Amino acid sequence: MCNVVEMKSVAKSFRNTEILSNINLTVKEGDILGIIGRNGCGKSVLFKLICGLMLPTKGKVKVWGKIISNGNFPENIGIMLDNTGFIPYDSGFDNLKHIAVINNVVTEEEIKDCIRLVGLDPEDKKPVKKYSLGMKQRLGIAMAIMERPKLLLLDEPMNSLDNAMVHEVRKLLLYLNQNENMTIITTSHNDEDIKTLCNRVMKLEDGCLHENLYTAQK
Amino acid sequence: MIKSNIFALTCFRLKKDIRKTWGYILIIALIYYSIASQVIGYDTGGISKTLILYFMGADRMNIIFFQWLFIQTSVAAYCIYVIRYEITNTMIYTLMKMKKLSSYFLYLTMRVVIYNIFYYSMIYCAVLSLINVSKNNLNHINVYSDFIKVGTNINIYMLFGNYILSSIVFIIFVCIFGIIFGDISRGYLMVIICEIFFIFIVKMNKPFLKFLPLTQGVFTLLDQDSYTYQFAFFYQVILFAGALFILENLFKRKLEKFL
Repeated sequence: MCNVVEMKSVAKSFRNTEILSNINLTVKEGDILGIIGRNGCGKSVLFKLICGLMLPTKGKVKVWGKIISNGNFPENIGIMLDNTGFIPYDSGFDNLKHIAVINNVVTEEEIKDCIRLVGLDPEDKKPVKKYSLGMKQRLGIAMAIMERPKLLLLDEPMNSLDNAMVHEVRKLLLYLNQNENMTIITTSHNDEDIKTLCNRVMKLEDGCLHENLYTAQK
Repeated sequence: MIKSNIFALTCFRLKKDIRKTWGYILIIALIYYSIASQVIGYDTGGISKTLILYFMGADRMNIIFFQWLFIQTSVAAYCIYVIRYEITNTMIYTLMKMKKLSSYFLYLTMRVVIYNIFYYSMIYCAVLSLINVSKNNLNHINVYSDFIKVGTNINIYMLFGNYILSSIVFIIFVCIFGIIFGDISRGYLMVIICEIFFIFIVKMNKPFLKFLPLTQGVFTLLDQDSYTYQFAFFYQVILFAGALFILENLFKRKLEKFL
């Protein structure tokens, strides 16, 4: 199994404040890695470093064996960040289509299936600005998995979801991991999500990543 | 391959935006018609109802400048709104799918260019044609309205090119200043102040106008010499390319600021 993500001695600072100080991380193909940590500890920054949206102050980030450089972003990656951005006056389907037309690898039918998969109605013409938080979260998950990427980054995907939907999303993620060999990196504040989903857990604390207890138990 | 996908996304957004903003387009066209029908047909011995004439007098330069400011502001404000909206809402996801910052940049540039071409070729042209049809025997101070009557020649393309390039250069400058000051509204204010200041200089020393940015739209309206259009066109092509290059590099360096 090849390494999907490799980070060696990565540090990230903002105006002399070091958010991440010494990150060493290797994620193998097929892993479901859970990252836990307190609010503001740098989980989202870590995700943005993997995506190439931010560049490290020190160290190197490799995704699919390629070093992330300025202006180039990794291939085959699906993301859902905490501040999921949609075009508020477009419907959920149109928002997904906006992203889908770029690579043109998914058909309209597949987009609709993807929306149904997260429990939304693809025919709903309601603009996204009228969606509830949970509905936006579900649409964000649909956007991330729509093109069936090989690496999926989900920043607190279960936020604002009701219990039934949490179960559905967990099942969906496990299905994607087992049947489509999707590597998943996720963050959550809910122990239950981490225990059920992840085969490896790391804790982000004081700017460093530590292997967590759950992993040892498993 | 990548370029055709950018084009597909641009077309997709264009269709959506036209559907969403047709009301805005109609209002702009109506306001422009009411202003331009007064100004274009202006005769020193005739009507003087407009605010421009009331405050600034009958100086041709002032009339043209304020007319130009209105024409340009309508499209520039919309394009800046689109850029701001795009960057704050869907930039991360679009960037991740395009895989290259330069592709995303190209997509935004294409949108701005297409909106400008659409605006000048549809709204501006339609309004001026309507004025020419509805008001006969006008004392024209806008050379473009004469062109509509005379017919198409090479200068009309140059003139169109000048309008479009001038507005795009204006938008690029707003974006550059917006990135430098950290707020696009402040950037807009700064560029507008610069433009008014440059026009003020132009009024005192006309030849200097040829070398100042942001004044070429007015310059082409003011000077009816065919050399003017060609000079202004090529000058603006260079300005456009240079400003775009600066903006792209600035955007690349300050990308983290937008996240």
